[in-house]
Amino acid sequence: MQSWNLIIKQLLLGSAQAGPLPKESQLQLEHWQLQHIGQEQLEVQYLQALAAQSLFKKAELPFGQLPEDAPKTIKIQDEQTAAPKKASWMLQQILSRRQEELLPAWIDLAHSQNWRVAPDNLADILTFGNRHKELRADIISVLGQTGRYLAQFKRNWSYAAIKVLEEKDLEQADFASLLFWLQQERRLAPANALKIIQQYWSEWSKKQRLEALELLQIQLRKTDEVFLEEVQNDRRQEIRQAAVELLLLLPNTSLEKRIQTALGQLIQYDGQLLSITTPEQLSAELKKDGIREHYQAFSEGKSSNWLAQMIASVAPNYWCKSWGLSPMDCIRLALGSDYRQALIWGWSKAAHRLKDLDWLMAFHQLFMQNEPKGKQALFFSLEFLYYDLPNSFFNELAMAYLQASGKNSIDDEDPVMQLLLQEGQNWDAELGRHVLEAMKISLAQGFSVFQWNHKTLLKRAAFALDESLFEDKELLNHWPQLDYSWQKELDQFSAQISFRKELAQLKAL
Amino acid sequence: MNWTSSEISALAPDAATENRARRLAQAPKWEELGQYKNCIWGYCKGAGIGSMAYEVKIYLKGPELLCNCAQRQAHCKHALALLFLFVESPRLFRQKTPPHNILNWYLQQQPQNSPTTASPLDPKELEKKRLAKAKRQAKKLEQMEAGMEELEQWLQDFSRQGFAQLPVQDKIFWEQLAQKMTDAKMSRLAYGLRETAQLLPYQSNWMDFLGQKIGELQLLLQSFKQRDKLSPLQLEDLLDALGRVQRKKDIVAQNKPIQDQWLVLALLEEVDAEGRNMRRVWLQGLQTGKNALLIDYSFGSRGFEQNYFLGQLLEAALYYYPSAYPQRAILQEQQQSTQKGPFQIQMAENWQAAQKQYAQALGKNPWLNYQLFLVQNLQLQQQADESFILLDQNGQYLPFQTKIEQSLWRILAYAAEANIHLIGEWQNGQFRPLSIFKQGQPQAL
Repeated sequence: MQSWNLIIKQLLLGSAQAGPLPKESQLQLEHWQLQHIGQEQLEVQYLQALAAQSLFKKAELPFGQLPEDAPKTIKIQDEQTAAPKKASWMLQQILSRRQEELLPAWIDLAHSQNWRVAPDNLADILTFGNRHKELRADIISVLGQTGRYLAQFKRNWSYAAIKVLEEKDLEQADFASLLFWLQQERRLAPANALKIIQQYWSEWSKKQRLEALELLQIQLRKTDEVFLEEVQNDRRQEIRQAAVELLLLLPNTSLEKRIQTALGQLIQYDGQLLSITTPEQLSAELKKDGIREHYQAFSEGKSSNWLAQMIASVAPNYWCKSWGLSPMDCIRLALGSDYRQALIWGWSKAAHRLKDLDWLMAFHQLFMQNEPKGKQALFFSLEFLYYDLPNSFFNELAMAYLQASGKNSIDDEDPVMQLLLQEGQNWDAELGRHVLEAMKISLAQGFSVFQWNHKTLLKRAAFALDESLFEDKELLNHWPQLDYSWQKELDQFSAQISFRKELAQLKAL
Repeated sequence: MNWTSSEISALAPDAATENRARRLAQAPKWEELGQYKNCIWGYCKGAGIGSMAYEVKIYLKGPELLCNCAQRQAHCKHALALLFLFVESPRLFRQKTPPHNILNWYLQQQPQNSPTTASPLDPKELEKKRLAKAKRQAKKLEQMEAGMEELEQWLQDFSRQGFAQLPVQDKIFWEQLAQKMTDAKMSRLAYGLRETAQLLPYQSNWMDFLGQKIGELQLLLQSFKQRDKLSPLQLEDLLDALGRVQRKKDIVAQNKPIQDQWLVLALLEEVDAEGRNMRRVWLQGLQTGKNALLIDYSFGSRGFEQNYFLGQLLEAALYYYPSAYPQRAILQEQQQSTQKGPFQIQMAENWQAAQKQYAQALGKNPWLNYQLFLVQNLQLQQQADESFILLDQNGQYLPFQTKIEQSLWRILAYAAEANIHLIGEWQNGQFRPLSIFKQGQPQAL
């Protein structure tokens, strides 16, 4: 090694400044009879010595030796078995082809068979969880110990680097582990989870408090109100706002009653006419209850903006009870008022937040029959009424839209398209059959490359169709004669259905 | 041969083609599906209305896939789709006599029992050929000698002036010398120079790296000058290291085959220093325990001539290139084996044993570029600087590099549960893990 360094040093400098060849190298060259030392110029001698040494160097591997007392690595003994090859391959397809909607189905399968994610797929699913916060808890549940161990090696995966805790270990637990425990506990014993949150609340940072509030959404109940009212006094605005948003999901809260009282002075109905005034100022109480100085999503003037926010904070059913009217009557009444924008916006927001199905249906019926136009036109979009609907209501609503259209086909621009294209909604067998048959009729009547909504709908159908339709070959396979651009879409549809079928078969085994 | 979906996926040139093939693997899209012994075929309806059907035929034991579509890739979506369809619904393929052209093609795929012997040539013709070959070789040698003189001068000049200025030279400087070596029929040597120019700026210890490369050049030069003293096999190695081109059919004709079941242990595709798509496939014979390396290149989007996948077992005749340490080889008359494993392979017990094998190999062929390392019972540990090491049972460890981040995580996940048997390649002073041997099967990293 020493002679190697000497040779390198001399060759870097050049033989003009070099001394004689190191002794060790001279001996090596003589031993291998590579050259008659002394008969060559110095630069050649150095090159030959380098040639001999380089071979040694090439054979030398840069090993290291761990000291004997170095800590031994402990192997993980996972109780769950790793998912078998076929299931792992399916998971890989779901993750690599971004079919995230199928991931919950795969996780269900893993739970039913007591599988964990195989080592091959761990990195992919951890990365996936980093992008999909909503699926993290489910992902963690199938990682197994190996996955949770792996998660500690990359910052983006730290959400899964948790230890499975017992309640007695909470004191020493890191926040990620505690949060995971709380998520599980909230599902099983919500009151106890709340108790633990209250216990640690004062020790937590702003970010940690927000994460804890987020998990209170799981099984939110009336008994959480007292704690949330306390949180309304937190010195940080984001935390106060998060508490208000949770309170607004609860029925008959003190917050709601306070706003109802305030609204009582502003909105009166005498059985025929609505008389409305707007608040003159935004009081400290209203601010505390989540009414903002200017809420961007509603773009009317200041006082009207406050009024709309206040209406949105009260359950819409309150107005039905107070005025003895149905939701549709309330809406019609509002449309005739000067404050129709604030009323409709507030009610629609509240109905959507509380998933008040009577009110939601009333709004949708309004659009199915006759969307307000002219003077009564609304200056905001009610498209949000399509989002996050309860699945059974979604199916009922979609069928109502399809029947209201009075046609057995679907136009590419039909309003029901927006509803049907909502991700995460499963179509029941009746809706699935109806949509596919309507699509076939539409395509048989005429098709073009530019039917983007139809094409997207077909993609959606591949994810949303009910499993009971998988065996209906007539429904799934028989399509009108279509051109190349459509053929591609149909191929993709069939491939996706086959994939879902395989997944279902695996679960049934 | 029982094919599986994942094995077919491994044949796909890319994920997009595989996706398209899966979509096409549906009975309504195919006509006249048939099977005859180890051959399947079918006609895929074209996508456009009234378009022609593509004829696809597959020799299952090869596997050899052929489609008459315009796609220039080795395996098009139609060929893969037919294979997918065969795996999913074999009953659709009725046993029948294939059309004439398919039958002919199938017969060509069948391994020949005896190598075809060319008709004997006229002795005069033979002598003429021999003389022409000798003349060509003499001329080539003359060119090589001239190239070597150039190299010698170059090395001595820099030895006199000092190599310290080499790292600051731009690529053209190296390219000029590489061009001269190419002109002197020493393409491998030229490749080595280009590779050095590419790798040098990225070396943390560039002095050692440069010393190593210069030393290798001098060793080649010195050996070439004293080639009369080398054994015939050593001379073969030297000529290979310089860049002699050998035709595969000559290797097959001049060497004895080794008949064995060859297990694909590792695969690696990369772009080499000259921008070519290069693939290295490492095999081990299950009976002989010999390792072999298949090297091939693909040009443009055509893909590689043959397709291999990890864990594939091939019953084949293997011809090593003549060498004092036989490693590079050609596979002929290959047939997919029906055996599915688990397999038993020869592995080194620890790093020391692997190094010993490597040192012995270098003793025989000092110009070895790649060496397969198969080491048992390794653990993965993270060091204080967050780098990872592979630790054997004796506490000896080796740092390693993975070009794909995913590989590191897979090793880490596997190693967390049990000691791992690792298969990797040693090249340019670095160890690169390529696969893991688990439950008697190599698995991809």
